[in-house]
Amino acid sequence: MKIRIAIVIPFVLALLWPSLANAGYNEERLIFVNMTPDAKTTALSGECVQQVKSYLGAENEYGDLVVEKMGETKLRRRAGVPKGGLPFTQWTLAHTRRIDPGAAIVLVDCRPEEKHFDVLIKGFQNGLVRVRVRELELTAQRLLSIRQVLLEHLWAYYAV
Amino acid sequence: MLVCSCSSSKGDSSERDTPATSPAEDKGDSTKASKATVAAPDAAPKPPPGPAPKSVRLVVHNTGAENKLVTSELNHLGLALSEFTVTSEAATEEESAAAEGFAQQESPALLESWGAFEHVLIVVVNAKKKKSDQFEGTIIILRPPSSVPLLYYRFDRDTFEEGKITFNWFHSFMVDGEDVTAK
Repeated sequence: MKIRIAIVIPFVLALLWPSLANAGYNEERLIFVNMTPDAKTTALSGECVQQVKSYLGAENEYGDLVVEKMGETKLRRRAGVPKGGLPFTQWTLAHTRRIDPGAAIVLVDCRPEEKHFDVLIKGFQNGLVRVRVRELELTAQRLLSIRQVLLEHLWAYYAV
Repeated sequence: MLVCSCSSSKGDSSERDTPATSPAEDKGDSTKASKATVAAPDAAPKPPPGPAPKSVRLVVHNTGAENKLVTSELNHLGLALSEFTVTSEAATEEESAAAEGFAQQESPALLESWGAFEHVLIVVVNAKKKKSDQFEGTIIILRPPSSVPLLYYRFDRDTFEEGKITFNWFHSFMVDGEDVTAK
């Protein structure tokens, strides 16, 4: 019997360890959607969207942020906005609540060749931010500025 | 209308103290050097090398309540502009209407001119109540004569704490930089 307990307890602890290690931190979900139209998608636009996505991990030191991918069709169906309808940069908090009331949301349309960049950020707390850049190259400095805006608004007023 | 206490251009003193060396001086062109001595016997400070600070017209438009938090944030914004030559010029009625239109729906207003500046920075704020920390803000950067905003930044917050959101980043959209997309 003692031998069985000695085997079972470490086994159970090993199974539970990931959740025990993260005890005290809530898992947070973030929906990230590439809104670049298919017809405008290029290698550079793909790199740009991935670059923006990579910023999301910058303040995820406890690994409690789960980034969920979602297709544009599903996103639009949940938001109640068909393709060709209201541009996503004009969506309101009501739209984002319909998509998922409990998740943060980041929607990106990046077309470096056209000097066209749009992002909509719904943070973990209520609040909506839109950034639109036109007629400007997406320089390293400008991308860093976008990173700053993204992280500030995503985690604004967030308390563990 | 709120007035932003914006500072004017800030020169880098270390650059300013270093005399600019022209190619002619490098080659030992004594005529040019002596002329310069006559023109400036007291070694008056020379303008800093490189391009002059960019001129920016700042238009601040408050569509909501007068609110201390908003005033404070506008001061932060003014500090973020310290490297530019800023002119705070009141908006005409037509410009105010256009600014409000921008703030609401990001579509460019067809104004022929926002003035002879390199950039126009339009800031529209709407504090929802006098003592509330709920407010909307929009920052738009225009480069006349184009009426297409280079940057449109709009936030809408239910809770806004002073200094929690910075405004020092947007000037990267008003200065030239390396193009990382060029390959």
